[in-house]
Amino acid sequence: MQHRPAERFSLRSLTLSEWVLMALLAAANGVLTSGLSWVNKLLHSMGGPMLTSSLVGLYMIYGLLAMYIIRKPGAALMTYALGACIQILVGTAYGAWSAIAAAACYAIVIEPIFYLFHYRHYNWGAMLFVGTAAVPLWFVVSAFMFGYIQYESWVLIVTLLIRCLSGMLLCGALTKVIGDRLAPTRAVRPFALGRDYREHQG
Amino acid sequence: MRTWLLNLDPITKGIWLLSTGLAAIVTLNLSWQSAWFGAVLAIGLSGADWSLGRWGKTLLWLLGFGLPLFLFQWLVLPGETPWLRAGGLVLTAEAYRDSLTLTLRAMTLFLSSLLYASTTAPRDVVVALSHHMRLPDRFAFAVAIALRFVPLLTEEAARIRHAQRMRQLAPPRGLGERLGIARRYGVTVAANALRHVQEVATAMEVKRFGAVATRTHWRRLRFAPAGIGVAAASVVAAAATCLFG
Amino acid sequence: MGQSLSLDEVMRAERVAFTYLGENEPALEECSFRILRGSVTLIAGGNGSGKTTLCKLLAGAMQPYEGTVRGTINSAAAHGDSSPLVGFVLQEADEQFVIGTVEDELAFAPENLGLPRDVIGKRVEEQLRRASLTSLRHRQVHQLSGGEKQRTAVASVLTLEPDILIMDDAWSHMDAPARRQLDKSLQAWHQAGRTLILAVSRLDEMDWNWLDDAQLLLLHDGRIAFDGHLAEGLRNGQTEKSVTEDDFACPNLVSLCRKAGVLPSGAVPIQLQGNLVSDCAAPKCTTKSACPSDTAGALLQVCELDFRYRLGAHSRSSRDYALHSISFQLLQGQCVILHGLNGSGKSTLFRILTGGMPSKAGYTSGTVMLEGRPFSQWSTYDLAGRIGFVAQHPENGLFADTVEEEIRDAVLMAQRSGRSCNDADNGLMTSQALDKQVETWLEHNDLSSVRHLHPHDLPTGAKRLLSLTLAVIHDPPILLLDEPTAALDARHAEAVRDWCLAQAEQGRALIVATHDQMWDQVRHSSMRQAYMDEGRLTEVVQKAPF
Ligand SMILES: Nc1ncnc2c1ncn2[C@@H]1O[C@H](COP(=O)(O)OP(=O)(O)OP(=O)(O)O)[C@@H](O)[C@H]1O
Ligand SMILES: Nc1ncnc2c1ncn2[C@@H]1O[C@H](COP(=O)(O)OP(=O)(O)OP(=O)(O)O)[C@@H](O)[C@H]1O
Ligand SMILES: [Mg+2]
Ligand SMILES: [Mg+2]
Repeated sequence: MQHRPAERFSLRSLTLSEWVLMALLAAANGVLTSGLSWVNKLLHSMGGPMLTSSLVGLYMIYGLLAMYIIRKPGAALMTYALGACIQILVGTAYGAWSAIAAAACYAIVIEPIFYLFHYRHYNWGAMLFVGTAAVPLWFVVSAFMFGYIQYESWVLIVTLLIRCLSGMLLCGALTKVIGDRLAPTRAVRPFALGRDYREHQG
Repeated sequence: MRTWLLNLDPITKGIWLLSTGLAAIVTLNLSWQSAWFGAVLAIGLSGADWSLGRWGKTLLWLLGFGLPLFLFQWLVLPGETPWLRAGGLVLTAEAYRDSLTLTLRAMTLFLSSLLYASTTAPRDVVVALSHHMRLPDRFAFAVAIALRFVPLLTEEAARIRHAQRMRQLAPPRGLGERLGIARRYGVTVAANALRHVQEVATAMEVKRFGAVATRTHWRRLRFAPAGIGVAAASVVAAAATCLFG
Repeated sequence: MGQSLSLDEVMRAERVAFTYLGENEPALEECSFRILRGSVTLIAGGNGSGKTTLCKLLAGAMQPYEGTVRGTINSAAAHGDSSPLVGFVLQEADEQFVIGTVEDELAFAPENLGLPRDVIGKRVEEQLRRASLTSLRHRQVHQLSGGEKQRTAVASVLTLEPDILIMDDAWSHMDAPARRQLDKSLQAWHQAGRTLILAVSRLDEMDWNWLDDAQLLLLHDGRIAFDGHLAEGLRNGQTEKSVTEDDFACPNLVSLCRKAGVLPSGAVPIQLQGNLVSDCAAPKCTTKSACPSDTAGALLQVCELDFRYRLGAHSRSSRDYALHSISFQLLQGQCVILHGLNGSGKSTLFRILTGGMPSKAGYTSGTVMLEGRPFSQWSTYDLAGRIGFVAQHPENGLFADTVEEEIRDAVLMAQRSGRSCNDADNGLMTSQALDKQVETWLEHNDLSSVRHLHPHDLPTGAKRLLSLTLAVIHDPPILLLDEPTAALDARHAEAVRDWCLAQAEQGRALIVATHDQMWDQVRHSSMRQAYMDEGRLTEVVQKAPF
């Protein structure tokens, strides 16, 4: 098929509808983050970083989902960049820097992994791996940023484990589930996900 | 009358936001931290044009998460000088200070970000991003479209909910049906959102987006002296915080 | 590739066929025609005849994943640097907004061309003035009324000043002054020698007299049934003049148009059993007596209803009332035709009457009573059972994956709540009976041919027919219809009108908000006229019997 994703990293390959889709995902993330922020604050007040961490996968799903649907270089990177902008403009509970830093940390991990995958592997293993792998970097950065680093070390380790699990399930696995539910629908027809699905079918 | 914060352009306000955030993150000094929080509060009170109810809600919200967070950290954070002893619990003076600082930091970050978001018009952001900051048009418009999607999708979600209620003539039987209704609602909202993706992309193509290399920008931002002043002052203050705080 | 265009042509289609993805039947077949430079072309056709499909193809807005084209479309726009600019106004206003603020929408297209700022500014100001949008220039587009949206959509393409303008039935929600204004704008624009392509579903509405020598492409079931000059007599709809002999299959253009559904059947007034003429025997619907105390027979009572929208933080908020001290009562057997300019508050009223206005959206005061009980005392289920509602933009009310499923769900729900139309089967319906009922609904509303489509893929007219069907399946005593005939062709619009009056005869109460002239063509004893003006319900007068 002529739609082989370009393996060279170039943002030019992203079409207009792909940009709009990324915008939609970023917007959805903005709504989700501000909608969940009260849950999050509640969890934070009750259980500090540990409980808050259980939801962390949801905050990073949008970029991975974009990559799963679009399957082109730069999709995750740009989506996270858009997501950070939107969070700042919609208002974020943790301040502008943390929105920027979080998005950057996720993008720095996810985009190269897919580059190594040649933007071709989207099976369960790959998605779970990516979901988990995206967690640690931001964890370290945020521990310094929010002063968690002063907590006891067992708290930090448990927190990291919870986050990895959350990343694996709420980000990696959920992306796969949502993506596969979307694949046959008309909505993803213009994107690689829909094209690949149609090729497999017929 | 629009109050002054509403008249500032997104760029200078953005500088203020980022310097405030940076300073709040860098400093672990209680007095610096309180000063920053005070500044944000003062700016908000004088410039944001929020209604009394909104302020009330925000303050309630700040206290609502601030107080428990403060107590939790007081308990958890390490310290040496015992200050209060209740049963087996020891509350230390250091932990008190650190906890207060961290809580203030969270509140500063939250409030400044809320102020920025509530006083910045999305349309100014596009101009700022693509004309003044020279980001690629596609990126700037993706931001603009995303910002437009936020109220649009909320409004649509409300309409879908209403339509669904108009179709629901009898109470749902059992949990299964309830879940079914919720699922259907979610799926419809998502399908609608995804439909807009194609529509907007087509509309942009039809209106010749990307036809020429350089678009014009009909609107321009005005950089008010107040904005430049605020931005400069906050950069200086943030630098001072980094050095001495 | 076919031959290249001759000098006086801007577009030529040769045996064009289009099949939507996943369909067996083509939506367009064997379409061949030419469009001359500086001409006006009317693409007329009934609902589902393929106008939108054709327009999208001509404008180059059909995405490759939507289906497959056969044949060739030659467009001057695709050739060379000095190619003419094509502007395209889509059928649904909502689909063509990008940024979301009225004036920015208008500026968007010329900005994309890289025009100088002062030129853009001039164009924006001019179009804002022409479309009377100046007071709404800072408004978000999703906060506009249906007609205001369409005006914005048209204006946002006119600022592009295209050489070829394609409009797909883009005035269906506009009020009479807005249509006149559009007529003037288009005429002025066309006189500069530009090409105009208009898709219309109702030829009887096109009383623009400068369209005299327009070319008519009559579409019927995806084929071109007629291609020639719009004859003089046709637009008046009276003389049955035979037309050009090149169309030998159907010697009579008027009857051809009637068959295609773009002209009304011509038989005015309608054939109903009811008393078409009466001397005020029916009880009057009053606005004057505020909050009347006698409630006998009143299905719906509204008393001193006020509503103000809360505008977003960034737009200068207006203190205007969208609704202002509205009081009326709706009796059984009444069909109230609610007229009013764009933005006068009709849809807002409907949204409140159906309990669909979120409390966040604005400030409400006043009381609304249904069958003598205030709204707050009704459960949402009972309320939904008593009101049938068709929203102005029905897309948001469609949930299922296919039209058939949508109707099946509604029938099942109606049956479960004991509000089924068929009294015969009050027990549990067998699946056969269910199938039959679904079939009947599909059949009656001309939806059989699109039964397998996703509701969102339906042509605009079919969407409206579907939502009308959904609104009445549970047999509600009150029907609130917001622009029920917009985007419908003449045949369907007539059917809907007659059906509404028949419902009133059966004792239902209806409120119909509309800009359609069609409602003025009949007199019926149960019809009442009401006027909405800037949020006030000014008068409800009994039309003089003839
Ligand atoms: N997305 C789609 N998928 C499948 N079939 C479609 C799709 N859109 C339209 N069709 C079919 O193509 C035919 C023509 O549709 P089109 O939208 O062009 O009609 P139209 O003349 O514009 O109708 P209306 O007056 O209601 O707007 C219809 O029979 C319809 O069922
Ligand atoms: N969500 C909203 N937020 C703010 N203002 C709104 C909103 N919706 C409508 N309006 C405004 O309220 C007024 C009444 O709108 P409404 O939609 O009720 O008009 P309408 O009579 O239905 O017009 P049309 O004939 O064009 O459909 C208009 O001035 C409109 O701009
Ligand atoms: Mg159409
Ligand atoms: Mg309306």
